[in-house]
Amino acid sequence: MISRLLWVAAIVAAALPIAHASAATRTFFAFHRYSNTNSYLTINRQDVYTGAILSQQGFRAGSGTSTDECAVGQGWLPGGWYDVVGHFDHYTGSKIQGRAWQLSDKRCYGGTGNLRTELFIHSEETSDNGQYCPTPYDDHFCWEGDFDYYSNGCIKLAHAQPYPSDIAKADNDWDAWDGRSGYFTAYSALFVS
Amino acid sequence: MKRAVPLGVALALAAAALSIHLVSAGGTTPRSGRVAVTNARGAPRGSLVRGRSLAGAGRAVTLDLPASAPLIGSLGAVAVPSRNGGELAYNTWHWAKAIDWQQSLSSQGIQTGDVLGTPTLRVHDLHTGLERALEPGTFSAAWRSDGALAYVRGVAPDYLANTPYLRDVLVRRSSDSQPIVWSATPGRYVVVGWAGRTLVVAEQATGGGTDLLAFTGPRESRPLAMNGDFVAISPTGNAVLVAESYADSNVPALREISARDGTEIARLPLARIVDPVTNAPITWIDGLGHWLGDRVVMPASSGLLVIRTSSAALAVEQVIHVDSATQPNGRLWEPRFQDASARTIITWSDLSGADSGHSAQLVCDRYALTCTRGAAVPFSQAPRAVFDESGGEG
Repeated sequence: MISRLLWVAAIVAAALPIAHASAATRTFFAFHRYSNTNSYLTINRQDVYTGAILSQQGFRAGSGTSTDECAVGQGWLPGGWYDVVGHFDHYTGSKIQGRAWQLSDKRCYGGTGNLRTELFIHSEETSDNGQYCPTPYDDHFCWEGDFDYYSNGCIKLAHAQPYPSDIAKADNDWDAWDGRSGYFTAYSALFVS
Repeated sequence: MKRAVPLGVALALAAAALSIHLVSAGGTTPRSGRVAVTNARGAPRGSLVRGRSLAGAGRAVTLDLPASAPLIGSLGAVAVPSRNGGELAYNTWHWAKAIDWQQSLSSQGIQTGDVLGTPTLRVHDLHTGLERALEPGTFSAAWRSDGALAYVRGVAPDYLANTPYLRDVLVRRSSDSQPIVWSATPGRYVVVGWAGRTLVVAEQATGGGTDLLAFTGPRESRPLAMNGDFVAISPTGNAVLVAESYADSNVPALREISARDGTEIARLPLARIVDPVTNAPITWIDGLGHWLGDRVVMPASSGLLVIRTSSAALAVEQVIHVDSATQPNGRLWEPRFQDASARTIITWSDLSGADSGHSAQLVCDRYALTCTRGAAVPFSQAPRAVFDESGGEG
């Protein structure tokens, strides 16, 4: 895994000319696909001039229920670079709520397959970052266990004890390192390998 | 006391068991197992569209534009024949500019709200060869048995980067009549098929997943199945097969529901469907499947799954393990029974390794547990099956 992380860091460094040039640092995610329920997401703060990673935190993460990146609503996130086009602390979607990052659209299979849209990094929590667990079954806004890492194609982080949870840590890092919220464009801010 | 078994009886039982095994191996009954795949040459089988070429309609047909449906993806067929075989509705897509999809959109000067492309349905008359485009922003189609055509139309014709593409559900009494809006409000709709006179529509949710809705007329719709992926409609149009996933349930199941009111007819938990090679339960089922008689074939995490339906039950007939289908980007697409015998299944596989970036047709004899794999073709030129999921009379 370490060699893979170094490889991603090298790719990110190579992409620096297109980075957020007005800031001394940039914040980006790197997602490494291993399995639907046990992949790895890092959030990184990088010096835009040297490429050095100044801070990093990593989390277990999930994506999809299958490993075919072209399966709409089912496959894990397609590989390649994404923009982050929004960040929200209190998102209020019908199936996604709370802390979330919206990603740019992506065509799978290196650009020859289906167009995957409305992709996010999120967890299972309510819009006020709490838990709503009314049934003994799988509730949308309740993190019951590891099977919640399965998603309809987005990246998912845990809202689980011990607190702060992984979704809270990632959100805290983003707020401290980047600080933007609402709709914006963070250029090339996620790399999926 | 030790029970004595006459030698003659034992020999007879052994012979009977051996004959059953030999009959199965010889290929007269379906059994679960791993298929052996061999390479083959020759033209792909079945009714297919590849770019502008339509094959398998009895003669070669050239369409005016290439068939393409990047927004529909695995939710619907790219080309849909009318029930009487006289017309073909097919999806086209025009990209606003060339895009390197390995890179981010912003790195290529594309911002949120910029036009990425435009879908347009076209209807090709298979008798005259004449063709016409429906409104810009139209895609996904299903024909009712009386010739009515259902589809969706974007509130705006163009798909804009990183934004919800809302659309309405429309129905024309015939392909050349005026469209009537059936949806009360725009949504992320995809038409999946007619069940008799009920139109089954998938509504995509932000962040993925679909709910199924039943439309029965203008501004008349009701939920059919929440958090379920469409698999198939019964030939009678009375029932719809829906797959739940582990993303939405910790006990997902394949569900047969009534097209009339959404009540559950039968339920088969994924945990009870076992991959014969790994001996573990399958982890997903997805559409699009093919419902023929009382059998349904569909993609699954093992490769393919064949289910038998009865009045109130779903039973596993066969779990087919295809090694390549269990690999990343290796799932099988749009399996179809070749004919009424339901012995041969035609499907498509995405290839990995040295053939990464390519697809190939698999033609599988599910009794013999063998498949032949056709020539590899690039994803962008891969043929797509031509079919309509609709069932029943309308």
